[in-house]
Amino acid sequence: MTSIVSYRKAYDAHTTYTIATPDSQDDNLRCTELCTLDGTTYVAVPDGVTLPEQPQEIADSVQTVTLTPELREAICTTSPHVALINTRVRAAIAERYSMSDEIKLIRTAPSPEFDAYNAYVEDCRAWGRAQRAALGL
Amino acid sequence: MKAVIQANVFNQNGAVSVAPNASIAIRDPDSGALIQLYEDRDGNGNPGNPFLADSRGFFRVYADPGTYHVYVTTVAGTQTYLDVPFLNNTLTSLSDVDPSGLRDGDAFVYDSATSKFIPRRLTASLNDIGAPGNQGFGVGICPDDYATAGFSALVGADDPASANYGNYQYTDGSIMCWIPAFYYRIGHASNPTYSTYGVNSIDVRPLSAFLNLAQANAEGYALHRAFYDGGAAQQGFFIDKYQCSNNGGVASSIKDGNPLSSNAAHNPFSELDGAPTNNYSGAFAAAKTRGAAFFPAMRYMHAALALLATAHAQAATSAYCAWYDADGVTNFPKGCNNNALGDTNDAEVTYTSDGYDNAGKTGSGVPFAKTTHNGQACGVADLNGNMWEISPGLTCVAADKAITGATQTNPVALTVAGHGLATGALVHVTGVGGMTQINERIYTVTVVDPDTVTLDGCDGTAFTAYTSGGTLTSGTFYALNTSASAADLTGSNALATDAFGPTGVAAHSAAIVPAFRTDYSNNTFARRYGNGAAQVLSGAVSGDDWMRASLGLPAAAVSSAGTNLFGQDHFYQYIRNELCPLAGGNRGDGLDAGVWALGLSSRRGSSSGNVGLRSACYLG
Repeated sequence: MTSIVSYRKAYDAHTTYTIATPDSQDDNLRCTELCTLDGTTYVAVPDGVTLPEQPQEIADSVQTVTLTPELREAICTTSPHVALINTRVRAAIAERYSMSDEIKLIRTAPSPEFDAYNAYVEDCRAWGRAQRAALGL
Repeated sequence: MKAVIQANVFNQNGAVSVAPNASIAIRDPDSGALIQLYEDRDGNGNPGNPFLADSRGFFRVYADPGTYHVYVTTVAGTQTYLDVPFLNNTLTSLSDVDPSGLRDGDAFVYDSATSKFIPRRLTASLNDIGAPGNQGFGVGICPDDYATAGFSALVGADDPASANYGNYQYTDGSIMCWIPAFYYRIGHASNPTYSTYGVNSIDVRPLSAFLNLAQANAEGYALHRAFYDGGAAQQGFFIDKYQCSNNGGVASSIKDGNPLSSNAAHNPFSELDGAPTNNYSGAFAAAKTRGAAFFPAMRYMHAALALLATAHAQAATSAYCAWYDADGVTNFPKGCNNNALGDTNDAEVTYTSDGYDNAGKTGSGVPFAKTTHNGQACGVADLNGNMWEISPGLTCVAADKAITGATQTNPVALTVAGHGLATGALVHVTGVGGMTQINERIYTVTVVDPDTVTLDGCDGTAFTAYTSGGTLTSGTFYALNTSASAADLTGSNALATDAFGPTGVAAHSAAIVPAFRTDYSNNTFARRYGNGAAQVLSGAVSGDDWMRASLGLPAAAVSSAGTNLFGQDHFYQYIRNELCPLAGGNRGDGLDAGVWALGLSSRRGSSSGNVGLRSACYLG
């Protein structure tokens, strides 16, 4: 299960110190910087990934996060990755059902067409949830 | 006393003629605001602004003395006159235009020497890389016979203010940027940016700045390696504005294409004409689908573009550099690198998905100018992320040897039967059991005997004991000679023309030693460009140091964190047989991606959906 790690970036005259992540050619093992909230940066670390030694400038601030509902919501609201997932869920639904289709199906429910629509929407949402879960959210 | 301007204005059709009832607007050049106009020299009356020319296309108005922009609009469009002087006791006329060679869309500037207006594009010099920080810097007007080679100039290709400045189109529709040959000088006390950037200051000058190479060298300027090919100095090179996509079987540089990759999973090379192999070596055949003159953009070309970007960053203001950051923290080109179709350093930048994970369509970044090497629409796009680009011109012939022992001593001694190394050789170590602290690092070695070497500076007294296994890899790096022709290279490993393998390098390359970081514990593979204030690139004007700098190989100044000046770009030091360097990073590499990013861990036969190509060619 993907975990969320937080840290605070550090700065000097030459460098912005950021979290060190393992080098991997495997896209499934890629660590993803989700967002920065109030100066704290949140990073998704996939299951099986061990973070290497961290730059001393940030090492003390690196910690694994226990997500509260409020923090999860804040990250989901800010992260471009979650925004992209949400956009894709909406696009997948819109690809099959127009807004007027949806209104009509809801208005005429229950119906077999509504059940099919509902199942498809749930599939799309489940995909979105799986994508967010892959980011630890 | 007010100044006067009068004119018969002319149409957009290129011929001087009267434009009856044209609408005239006169604006402040800085604010763009319409200025106050008067009907006489004493400041009486108000003709309005904009106002109309009469039925003969004539107008006369008065204003406070100054320099203004004049916009003349007819049904055919708007003609622009920049920095028109309104001077006391001087009658300025827009009619003073040399009518020869006018083109639709010309903007005019006032030439005080002749007291006439001339098309702004005629003030741009041929083959001029420009001045860092200025409009049009980093591309230029091709001086050679590009038409014979199959290119045509886009409208505005000769106007530094145009989005098409220095942009040309090949017969397949590919848009390519002309990069004029340039001299550069690194870390010189006379560099304009030396006071801020010191030993990492970069100055760039056009070929015309010096009588010859000797004079340039004498002043500390080097001609970049990218401007040698086939044994001759080149006027410049064409490089794809966009990463290559499949254009009906041709690997073309087209905006909003789906980027090619070296893997079957993602717009593969194999779907091009001739079905190039889906691995890195296939990039050579892929580039040739456009024509025999084309080849994958070489390592030194990527490094030249990176050098231009950094020089521009050091001298720029926001005026001519969309990605400029006055704080110097993110003062480099942006791209598709945050694994969410955006840039990890700039939330404003967005890309359009190409349908494969979070890769972007070629050149789809918005704002586009933030994604080019010079921060202007005329520049080369997507050098920071999206897809790694195959970047040949540097390779390695390497061999593995089995490690059978390692001592807990200072320094660590490795048992490697028949290692065949010389003291000072670079090696890397992987797969050692027990003493894992020595794995995945680069070392220099000292030879003890034919079967034993020590790892310089590596104190193993506190390491865990060796248990089994391990591989010692050593090799010789080779840089393509200036006498070689990039277009002649092929992608395999057996022929004299092949970019890889001992036969090829013997024919066209010379050994070079990269200045890898070998001091324990700073000797891991994954490094970043820059180390505090230390000098990253050599300022040498010739020799191996010059070649290393031209290849973008740092002079040992790399670190785990890198520096903002070099974008904290990834430098992956490695010793790999049949090395095929990669440039730029991919869609999810975050800070690691960038114009300097260089991966040395991939080989000719590697394949990845994250690795594609950009093509280039010379005209000489």
